[in-house]
Amino acid sequence: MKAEFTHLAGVERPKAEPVVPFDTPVLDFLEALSKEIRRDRGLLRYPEMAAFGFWIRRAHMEEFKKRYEDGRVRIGRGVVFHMAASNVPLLFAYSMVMGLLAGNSCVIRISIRCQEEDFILCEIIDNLLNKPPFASMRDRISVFSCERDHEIVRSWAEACDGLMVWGGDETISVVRKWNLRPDGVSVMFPDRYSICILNQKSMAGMQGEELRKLAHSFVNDTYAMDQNACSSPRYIIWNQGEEKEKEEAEAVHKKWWNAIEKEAASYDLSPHKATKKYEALCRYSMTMEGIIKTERFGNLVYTILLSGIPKAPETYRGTWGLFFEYQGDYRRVLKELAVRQLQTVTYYGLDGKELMDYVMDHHLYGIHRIVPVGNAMNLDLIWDGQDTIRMLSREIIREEEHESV
Amino acid sequence: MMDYEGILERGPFSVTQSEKRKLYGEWLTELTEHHRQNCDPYDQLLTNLKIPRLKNMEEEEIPMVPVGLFKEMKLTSIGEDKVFKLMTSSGTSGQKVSRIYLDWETAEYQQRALANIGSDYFGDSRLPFLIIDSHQVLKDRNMFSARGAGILGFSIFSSRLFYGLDEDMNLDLDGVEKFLERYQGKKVLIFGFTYIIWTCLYQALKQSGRKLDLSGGILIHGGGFKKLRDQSVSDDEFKERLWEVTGCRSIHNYYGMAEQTGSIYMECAHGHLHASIYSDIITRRARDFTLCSHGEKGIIQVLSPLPHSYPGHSILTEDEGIILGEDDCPCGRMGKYFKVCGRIHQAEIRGCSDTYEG
Repeated sequence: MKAEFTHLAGVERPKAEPVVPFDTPVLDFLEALSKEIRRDRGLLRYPEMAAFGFWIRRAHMEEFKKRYEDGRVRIGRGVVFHMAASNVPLLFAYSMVMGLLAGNSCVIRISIRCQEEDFILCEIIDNLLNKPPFASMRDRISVFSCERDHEIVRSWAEACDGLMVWGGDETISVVRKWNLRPDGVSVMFPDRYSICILNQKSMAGMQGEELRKLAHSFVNDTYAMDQNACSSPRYIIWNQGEEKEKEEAEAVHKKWWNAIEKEAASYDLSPHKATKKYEALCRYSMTMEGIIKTERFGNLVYTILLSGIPKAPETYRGTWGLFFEYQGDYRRVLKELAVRQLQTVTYYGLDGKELMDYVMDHHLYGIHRIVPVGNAMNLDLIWDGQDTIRMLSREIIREEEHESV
Repeated sequence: MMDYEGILERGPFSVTQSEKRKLYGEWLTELTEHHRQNCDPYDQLLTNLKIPRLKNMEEEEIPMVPVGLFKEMKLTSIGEDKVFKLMTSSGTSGQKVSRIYLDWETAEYQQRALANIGSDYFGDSRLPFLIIDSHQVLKDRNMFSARGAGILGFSIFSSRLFYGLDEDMNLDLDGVEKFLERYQGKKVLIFGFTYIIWTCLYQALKQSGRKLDLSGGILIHGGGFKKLRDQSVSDDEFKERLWEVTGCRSIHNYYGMAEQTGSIYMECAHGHLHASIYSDIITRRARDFTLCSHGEKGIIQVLSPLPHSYPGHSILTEDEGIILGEDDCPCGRMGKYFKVCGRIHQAEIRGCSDTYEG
């Protein structure tokens, strides 16, 4: 067991004092943090940092707050301990914001192998917390980094009122074996995968700026995190209706992937990614059944057109721009795709409500989000079907005494 | 049918690159078809990559099999009964290793290729052979590791061999000295894996404060510099330090892999690695796998007509290198010469699913 431990921000032991969700000092702190991030031009080279700064802007937080203005009484649970995946930049910070908004103090462990941005943000947070107006917030936050097997990780997990674990079935099964508090709540985010449904007819006539914009949105959904994010689509379903659409399919798809290749041109496809991606393409080509054809657009875009959805679709990983395609009526395959690991469906050219109704009417097992192309990465307080604010706070029921009793 | 006798009769460095490219187009087109007919996963790969059949391909058009697939799949073009040796790459414990299925012929061709390359560098006469490794490495004859293959491969140049390390990989200094005494003044061949030579020969000598007289020796080492670079030991420093404790000036690195044994790339006196007629090298750009210019760093692809029992005639490696030129190295060898920059740097893989690993 390694003893390396680095304290990064806030206090060592935060105060376990629950407050109401969306408490003003919390919103003030997040607003100041947002401004701090956006003020520093040197941070522009980290796109994830700018995105986080934008996400916690006051107006956005107030919007979330409105959602919970239902006349009910909620208060935080106490201390929430966060374990965030090391290789999604700033995930720890999003997690922390959820815990704070729900009315809790937050203890966050980040990996010693975290991204550079993570450590920079910790520094910004710590500097801000050292300013007098945020003295009370300082008592509510603790960020540290250590090896995963450091005893402090387990001891916090077993002591906290709320536990948030991001990512990895494996991690979650390890944590579940620990001696967690019987009355503690756990918010777990296990392995997920996602798909995209494109209505072919809506794309057939698309040209120029319109095509470029949609391609740009799609690239943000996928390449932004090496297509490794749970919400990045791996399967592309070309929804087709009439017979005629089958004939146009090849030309429409080609136009689309050419646009993607162009839009992803600035993506850093390192030699490591290029070789491993080609290896994945070859492995699937050798072992997968039902491949109609594969296409390569340089090394940026690889596609594998399938005649059907394979069993356990979540086990096939597209990374760094490798997509499995299916063409036909989406309603023919959605049930097979909607295993419990299916998280996000991004769509274009379809009625989202219709999609939603299909999920409900057919009692599908998976699907937690139905969002337009371009919104795959927009983190919400409701994630994987779980309302983090409600789960990490407690609701107090009060009944009036009746005189007649 | 491939004319292997014809290939092996050629001088290993006698063919110019333009002639070689033409020959490789013909040979490897034929081999590609051979493996399609005899290895189903390979045929499925090429079909799905839309590689047409029976088409004459240029050398650079020959489809590449990523080296990692030999670790995951059984790729062989021969029946179970024809397997003469199962060669494995030397992975560290826990790592998956490549499994290469050799029939008698392919093993023989690769062995002869190595012999021909070797004799071009240090003559035909059989030399006393000092192996910087333990005889333990050859114990399991069925599981053939690249380390073992290297030793056996080079031992064909030797009249007498001696293992310089004991079972626990400690330097048997007295034994080595006795062995060298017998051949005083004669040329001796010394062979070992780069990292083993560094730790078990150089560092052991340094610690003991003793020296060996290998001034008449030729030291051949391979297997990669990765571990040494981690300790900030450069190629030049490696040579310099070894010279200090052994007096050996003739030190040659080689580049090779279990997936294409025998047809190794050996360093000449000018510090360049050379491709022989038995194999070729292409460097490619990550963005689209187009060919790199000379002097431009790229991902290494290795090609060889020798793999007949498994589809390893065109392999995309996980190494990066720079082709320095062709046909014009001052050492006089024809064909491409290059340097290897090492394993591709592994960027962090992003994803939400490894909290615990981190």
